[in-house]
Amino acid sequence: MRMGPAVKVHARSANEEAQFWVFQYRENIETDNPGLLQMAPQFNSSLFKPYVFELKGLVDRHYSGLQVTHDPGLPVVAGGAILMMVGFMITFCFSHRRIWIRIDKAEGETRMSFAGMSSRHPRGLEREIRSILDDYEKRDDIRI
Amino acid sequence: MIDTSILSAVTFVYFLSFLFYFMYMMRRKEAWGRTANMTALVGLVAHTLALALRWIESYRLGIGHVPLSNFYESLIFFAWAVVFLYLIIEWLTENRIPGVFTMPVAYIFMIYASFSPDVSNRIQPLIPALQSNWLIGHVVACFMGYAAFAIAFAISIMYMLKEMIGKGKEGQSFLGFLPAICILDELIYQSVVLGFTMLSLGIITGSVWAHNAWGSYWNWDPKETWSLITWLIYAALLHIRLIHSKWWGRRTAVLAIIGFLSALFTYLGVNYLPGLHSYLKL
Repeated sequence: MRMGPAVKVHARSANEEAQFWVFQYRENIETDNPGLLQMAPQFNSSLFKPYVFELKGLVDRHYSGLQVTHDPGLPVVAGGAILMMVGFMITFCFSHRRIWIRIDKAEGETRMSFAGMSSRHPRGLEREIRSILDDYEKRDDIRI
Repeated sequence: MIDTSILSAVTFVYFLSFLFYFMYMMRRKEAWGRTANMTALVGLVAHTLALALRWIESYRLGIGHVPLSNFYESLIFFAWAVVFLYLIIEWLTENRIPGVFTMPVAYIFMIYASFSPDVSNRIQPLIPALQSNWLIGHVVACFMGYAAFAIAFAISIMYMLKEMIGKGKEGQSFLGFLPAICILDELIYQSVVLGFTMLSLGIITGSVWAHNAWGSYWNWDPKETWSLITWLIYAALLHIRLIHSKWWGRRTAVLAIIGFLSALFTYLGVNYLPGLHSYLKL
């Protein structure tokens, strides 16, 4: 529904206050939609008694809104973000494990001892040592 | 629309899958577990199909966009991500019990999307502020993060149940069938690692997009602030575990629960605060 130009008036005296819309083409709105402007008090242009407001005309002025940003720190932030993601990949995907194998002699036989350390997942370390032991278990010249 | 009727059916299938997982936990019969897994998989395939149909349908309407643009679509995608990630985790760990706790999460979100009166399931045009190629990357990363946190939350609930009620009663109740405490702890940790990485990726893509769309990479909008709070909670969880092993187990589970509540607030609660991210009201 096109209602044409309008202004919102906020009128105030010592003991009275009123806010309402004033339409320029009041008559056209009346003929197109009879009774519409009586439906709500904020469309009543004589709300602030004893005055009656009337919109004679509007002069349009064009304007542009411009936003300018300047962020000299942006490359640092972007670099930090990339560094963080690469860091996540490194820390989360490659947890470091160290496994020591000591070989010495005991009672005429060769003894191998296993020990390990993990930055995370002690269970993963357990699995890895277990899989090494499993490989040896298959050979019958080795006792576990 | 065909996609919404498929999605209603999917909601029912997820509930069915939950029942099967529940039966599996009570009866300890592998057949129940396999049925539950198959049901969830069928639901996920239908769910994926419905999302694809919705995507195609939006192109047919001439407003083509990825189905991630309003509240309904985000809830549906969240449920999809939870089931998707859960099935991967089930496949990797060969443990079906977390299904009892994760399927209800997906189910509740599907129900909320389908039946809440304030959620419209219509395909709407994309509002201008969202018309960007960053939409997919940013939203998918964030929701994968939320979904991983939801799974960590579900496993934490399992952990609490197992530890608090089940002390000394293993074998007598279904609690004895829950995975061992140390497996649960590792599952929580792995889900949080995935969620944390995804959330970080979501925040980073979001800030690149914000730089292009709003002129600044960080605006302290409520959603940004709460995503930072969530991020800090999970960062604390990950770091604290390195200090001492007493922070493993229960304390990790508690932090994962708190973190998920914060993630939920980031997702849902923030809509009640004014800010730049107020797209979900549409």
